[in-house]
Amino acid sequence: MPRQPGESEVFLRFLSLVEAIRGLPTFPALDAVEERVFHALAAAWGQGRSVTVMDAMRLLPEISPSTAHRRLKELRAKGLIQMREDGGDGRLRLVRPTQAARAYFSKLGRCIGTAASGE
Amino acid sequence: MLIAAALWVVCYWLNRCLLGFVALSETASWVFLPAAVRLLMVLLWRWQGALGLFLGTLLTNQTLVDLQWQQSLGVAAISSLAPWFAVLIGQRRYAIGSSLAGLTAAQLCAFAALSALISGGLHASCFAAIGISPELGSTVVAMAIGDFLGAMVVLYLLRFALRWPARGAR
Repeated sequence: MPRQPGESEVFLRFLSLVEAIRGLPTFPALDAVEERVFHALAAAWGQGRSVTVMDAMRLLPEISPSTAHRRLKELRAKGLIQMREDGGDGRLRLVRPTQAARAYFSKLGRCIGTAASGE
Repeated sequence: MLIAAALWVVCYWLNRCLLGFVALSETASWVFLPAAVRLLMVLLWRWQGALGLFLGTLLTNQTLVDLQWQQSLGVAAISSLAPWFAVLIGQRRYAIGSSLAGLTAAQLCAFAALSALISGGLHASCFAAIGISPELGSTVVAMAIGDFLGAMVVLYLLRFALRWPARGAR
């Protein structure tokens, strides 16, 4: 428990700042396989599905699970996904998008919108 | 408060030692890393961070810049109040609460830009009034750009540093 009420507020600010800093745009170059895995994850998240690491490894049948797992680790290293334990089941780890991933999807959506409008 | 003061002094020295070659003058630099300390300390600790900056700036003023004590107080006040104003304006503009919940990277960059503009303008005006930097226009531009670039350099260093635990974690 914090000694003073302000200490928890400082900690919350710290967490918010860390998340904001993590969201700073970088240019993680994705190879073709990483891109396919990442887009397949995006499609699953877009459908409101929770994706476990095992699910993510089997998202693309043409890519071996071991290859997909290596790419998942690369995506995590590039700050695009996070793999956290499912609150209810410690054996499962869920793959979730980071703020950087959401920013990436938003930017792609804007680009598509711009292209579609002919500007 | 003491952490803010200490970080300010250390960053000021580092900037002077490592980036002295991009200094426009004794008081302005094209890249000013301690600007990140100003912003982050006020974002984290509010008035206590600002007070720490005030103390830290008093120290650096006395040891590194030749100012009279009244002038030093004025510069220290600007150094601590400029980011404070920027945070207040930015929070109101983006409807961000005191916990900074929902703060985005873009908003953080906006805070850095706002702090750079306010700090650069106030510092340059003060130095011009004192007679240290008579060329107000170029000093304002250099300080504002220097503060913003310095803040962004530090933020991106932190950005890459925060990735390391992710690499090591299973």
